[in-house]
Amino acid sequence: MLFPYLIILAYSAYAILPFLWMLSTSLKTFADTAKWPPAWIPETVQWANYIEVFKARPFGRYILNSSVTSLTTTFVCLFLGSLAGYTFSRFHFKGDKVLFVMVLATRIFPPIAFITPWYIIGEKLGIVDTYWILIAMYTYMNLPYAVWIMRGFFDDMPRSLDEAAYVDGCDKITVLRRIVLPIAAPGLAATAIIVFLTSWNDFLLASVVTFTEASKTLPVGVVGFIADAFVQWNLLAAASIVTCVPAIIFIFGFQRLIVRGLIAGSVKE
Amino acid sequence: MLGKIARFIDDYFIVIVLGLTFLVLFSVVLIPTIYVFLLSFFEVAISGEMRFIGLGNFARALSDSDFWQFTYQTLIYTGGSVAMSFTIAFVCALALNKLRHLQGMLRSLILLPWVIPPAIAGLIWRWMLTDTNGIINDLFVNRLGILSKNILFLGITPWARLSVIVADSWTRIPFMAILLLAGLQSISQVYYESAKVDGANWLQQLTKITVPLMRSTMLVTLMIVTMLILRTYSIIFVITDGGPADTTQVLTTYIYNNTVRYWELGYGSALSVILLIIVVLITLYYTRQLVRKSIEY
Repeated sequence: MLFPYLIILAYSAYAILPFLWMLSTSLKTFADTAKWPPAWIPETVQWANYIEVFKARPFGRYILNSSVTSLTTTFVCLFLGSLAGYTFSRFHFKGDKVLFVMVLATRIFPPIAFITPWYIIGEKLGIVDTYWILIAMYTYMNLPYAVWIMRGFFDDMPRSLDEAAYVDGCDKITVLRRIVLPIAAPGLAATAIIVFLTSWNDFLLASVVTFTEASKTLPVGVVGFIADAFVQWNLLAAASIVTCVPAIIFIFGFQRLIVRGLIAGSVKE
Repeated sequence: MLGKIARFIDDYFIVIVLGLTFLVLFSVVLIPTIYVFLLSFFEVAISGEMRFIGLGNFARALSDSDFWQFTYQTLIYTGGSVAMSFTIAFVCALALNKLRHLQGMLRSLILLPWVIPPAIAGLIWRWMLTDTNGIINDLFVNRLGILSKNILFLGITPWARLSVIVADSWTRIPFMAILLLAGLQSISQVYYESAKVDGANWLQQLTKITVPLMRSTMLVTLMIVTMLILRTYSIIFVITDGGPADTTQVLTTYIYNNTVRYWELGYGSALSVILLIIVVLITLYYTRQLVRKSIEY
């Protein structure tokens, strides 16, 4: 019994210490960050760094951009994903294979392969450096997956429930609203979290199509810090921690849900 | 009036929903995919002018020494990260399997490296690996006394390669551990109990029961994670940007540079197609392995 505990404890330390170190750095003065040997506890705890960061870069704008694009993508994927997932689950027909292939393709193909077409299409439509192109790209990344997960959740739901409702004379929309969705709520929550996180955490796609603070997302903005001639690691650390906030909230609040959603999407092959 | 609309939606529900979904999927999934394949046959000038050159870009790739070098580096990187992540994740999964009532807080901590943005994970590791005041140098030089001088991890080739591999695997382990754990938990305890009765020790149980029964889970996990690692861009870009001297360049960074920095849109697209082919081949390999019958007792 002891051995497994030690292993997990060791691994937990490995998992969390880098993050804690970044947290510690974010609360130091610049002088503190240059100290050798480095100290874990800062001499003076600089909470002000988190405010300072907003002055160094248009951080409020980055947060707004990330929030809007991630939230919109999440709504689109939830809406279409649950409807389509339900339809695929309950009504079988030949479109099934097409969906499967598309899901597979988006899961297998590396996003890097599509930065060229996305950029050119964005340019032609005049939507580079706007929310639209980001939402489109994030929908590409997440919608097939969302449909897949939702279908998985609906498959696990006994049909007898909706069938009973249809027999009682309900039309499809009512069945969805009153019966199916409330029960599929965990599936919706898991999908929403995964889609939101994938969009919020993205760096590559955003870095290709965003150029100004009009649409730069948080990860892109934070990484931009290292291009400075004189990198202020304490501020960069603060910005990094802020970028991790959604991940932290979701993993500590909804961990079981996320794991369920991801297993449903992966292992079902 | 509203009733009529409601009835219409109900009757044509399937058509409307699927029509809408496929419309979206078509525009955001299909079009870019077709486009990149088409572009790979063209040469795109800075003016935007496109010239059809057939397989010219592909021929160029084959004779491009950088392409071959970076493909090789991609293999080292992917292989290294997969190996490291799998080993640690498997050990963790075995441990987690024994600890049924693991506190939620601890589980969340374990999962953290995987949910934070990869770009941030890259920044964290880059900061830790700094030579002048990085915590890793601090650990080895000051606390453990293993090294006498700080190492410029990100500036010396073998260290730089190891650094990106370690950083990448740090983000993969939680996900792999979960998948492997799910597989472990599906093995019935009956096998272990009868093995113990027969006098088998833990190593024999591991090799004769666990590993064979876990074959399909391990294959699926390896396949998924290999795909994920092949698509890494952020971590390498943030930590080394392909350096020092292009020794940590991989196919993804090469494609990025060709597209965004050199404006070689045609060549970049051709490289993307090559990458897609590699990925599909690897998937086919794993699928074939999976289809071969797994052991059942």
